[in-house]
Amino acid sequence: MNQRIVFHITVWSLLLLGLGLFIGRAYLLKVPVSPERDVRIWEVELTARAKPKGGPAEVSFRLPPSRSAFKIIDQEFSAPGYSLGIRSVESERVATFSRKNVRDEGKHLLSYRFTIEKSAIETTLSLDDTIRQVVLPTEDQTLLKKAVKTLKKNVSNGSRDKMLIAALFQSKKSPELLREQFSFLESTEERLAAATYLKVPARMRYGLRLFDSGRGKKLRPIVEFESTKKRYTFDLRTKKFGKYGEFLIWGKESNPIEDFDGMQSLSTDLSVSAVSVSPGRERARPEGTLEEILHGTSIRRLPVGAQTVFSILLLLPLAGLVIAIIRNVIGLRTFGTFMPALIALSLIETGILRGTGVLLLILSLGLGLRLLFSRLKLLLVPRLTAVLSSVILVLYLLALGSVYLELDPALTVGLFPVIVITMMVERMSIVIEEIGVGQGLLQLLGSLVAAFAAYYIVTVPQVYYVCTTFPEYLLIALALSFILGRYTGFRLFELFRFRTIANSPRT
Amino acid sequence: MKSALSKLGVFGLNHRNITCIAQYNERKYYPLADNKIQTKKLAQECDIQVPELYRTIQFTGELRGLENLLAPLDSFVAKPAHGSGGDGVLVVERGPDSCLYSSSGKLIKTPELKIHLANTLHGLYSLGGRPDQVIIEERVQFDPVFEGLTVRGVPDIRIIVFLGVPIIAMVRLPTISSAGRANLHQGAVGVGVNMKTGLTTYGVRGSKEVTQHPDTRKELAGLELPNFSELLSISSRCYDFSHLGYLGVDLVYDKHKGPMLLEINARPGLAVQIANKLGLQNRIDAIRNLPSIPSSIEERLELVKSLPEA
Repeated sequence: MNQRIVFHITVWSLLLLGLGLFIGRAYLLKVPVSPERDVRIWEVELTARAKPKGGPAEVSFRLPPSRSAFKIIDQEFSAPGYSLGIRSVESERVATFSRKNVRDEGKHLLSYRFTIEKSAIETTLSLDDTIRQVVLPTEDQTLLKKAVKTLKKNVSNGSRDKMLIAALFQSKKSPELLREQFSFLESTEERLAAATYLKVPARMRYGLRLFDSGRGKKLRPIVEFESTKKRYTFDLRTKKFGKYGEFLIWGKESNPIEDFDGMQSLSTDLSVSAVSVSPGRERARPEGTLEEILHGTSIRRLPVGAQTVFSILLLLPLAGLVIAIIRNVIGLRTFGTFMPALIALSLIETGILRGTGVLLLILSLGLGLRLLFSRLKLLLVPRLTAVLSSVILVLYLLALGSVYLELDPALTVGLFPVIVITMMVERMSIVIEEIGVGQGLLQLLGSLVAAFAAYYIVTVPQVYYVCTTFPEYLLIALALSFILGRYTGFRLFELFRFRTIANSPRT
Repeated sequence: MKSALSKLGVFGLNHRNITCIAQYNERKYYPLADNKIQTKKLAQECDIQVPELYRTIQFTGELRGLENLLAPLDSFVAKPAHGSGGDGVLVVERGPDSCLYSSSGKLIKTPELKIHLANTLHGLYSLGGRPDQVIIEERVQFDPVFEGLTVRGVPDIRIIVFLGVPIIAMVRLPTISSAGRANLHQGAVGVGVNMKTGLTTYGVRGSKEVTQHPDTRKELAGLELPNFSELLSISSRCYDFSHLGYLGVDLVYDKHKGPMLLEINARPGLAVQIANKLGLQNRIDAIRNLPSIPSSIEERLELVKSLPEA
């Protein structure tokens, strides 16, 4: 009796607390309950971790322009103990943190965090003076004119311009003939000058790609050009075209750190996170203790890099609940308890079609190898290591292959999926060897169904938004886990299994 | 259908895990039940017949002298101490040429045997994949009571014992498709047993009802299990040494020695309900509602006679 009361009290307290905080956050702080569509707001954070030598210290950050395709609507500098100065260097802004004397031993964290909103204004491309001043030698001009003549006449201006840019920068996607014609150009300045000469004003900049949320981002070299009165970008690394507004143009250099002094070591990190609702809708100034608590526990308080990590982690409890329901209420058998949940999460990173394709490919290759290894009669642990090595070898070859075929090398399969796939290969091969191929495929199917169910539920925009914006959902998830943990009812598949008992009773 | 099943006292895995296992089986007693070596020793202390333990193998190093180790044996069974089902079990006989053969007649070479035993030691067949020991035990000479009802393999009797009282039983008969294993999930046939008379009742395979053995076509119902009260007595005594309130006991008939205990199980499955067309809950309730459980085996067996039919 006692046990039951304790259980009920715990579960109800968790549920009420969770719901209470949720309602508080939604009504008091006015945090929207569902994501808005087409919000064009991102949070960016540039961090420098520095270990000072001792004595005077200084670090300078290059800042992006306050107005470009984006408007900086909020910014914050953080450098405890340092003083800040901002100056203009060749039409770029530079922020310098400086300190007269550093005595402590530890690492210092300096950061610049800002929020950008997509601006409606599209400015005309102002060319760099250096490009404007380049006068191409006459031979080059003739060569360029000749090259252009090879283009077909009935191609639209926009396509023509894109083709020229692609060919100038030697992308394999442009016609080989045209590329050869431009191969005499050697430096980027020459190519940009040639583009401008051919009536496609262009310049090179370094920019941050906004659609990849996460940490450890790098500034990419891109060519900005103007065609048919619109601005476009051409990513020099991936050789892909983009619209104006895919990149936050940072500046002319690839390193966002302009300079530093008095430091033993310095490591930098650049993070991006997309924001789902306009910040203006939330109340910025909490009043009262409850509102302060709610405001203080929001995910926005975390550094941008941590936000992106948690936005995946926060989905795990929900995925786990879905898997629990599929196993304990429906009765599907899966390989492992959390494997389907981890697969679901990695599918979010890779996309469901490509992710499942890669998963099945690696599984079948791994399984084939593993069954071959059976013949070698290896001991258990070395065999697992052999499977792991083979799986990673296959992944390595796949990643190389996608580079040479100029496919998107977005095979960023992290550590977890690899471990998960290795364990699945091992379990599946044991089931196949001991019970049969049928049971093995059945459990694989069960695992995939569970992973897909978790994936589809977790990626509903409203669900994803609530899980990552309202941390109190964790309390509710905890309560639900307890409730599920005491579910004594039949599993769906058991009703099928026990049907003979009900249908043909004893005589 | 759910209400029909509940009336008969049928329950599923969720109910079993929460109400039976979590409530009546303390986790500290699991290791004893899972470890076949421990089970044997404790059973022998209670004068329960078990297949003779020839030796155990604990370390891979011991496998070096495997041939000498096995030389005095003409037949034996090698099984993992912590295995489940029939996993990793190897039934071996020595042929006239002094070589070892499996129960299906295949020649077993020493290197193969060493690898199999090494895998066992490394936990391939153990619950949880942890390192394990190998048991080399006596090979049971099967009593002809199940002749015509089994194809190769080890037929056994599974009895579920609740707080010391046997409440339900089934006979598990291997088939060709179960490859000699008495594992219902792999195609063996389960046959319910009337607890009062010791006669077999209904047969089930997978989740379908069967009246004949699929391979031999012999009738399943109406077979009388010999020494039935001794079977019940052994299973009841297993509660006393295992301290598990919800217990599965697996027994076999040896031609010369009679009923023997193979192993005990702390998490017995639910197929026994299908084989008896009856759930466990009503019988469990009947025992639970008693003011106390008698300590003498005779009195417990008397209770068996008064178990509800449905």
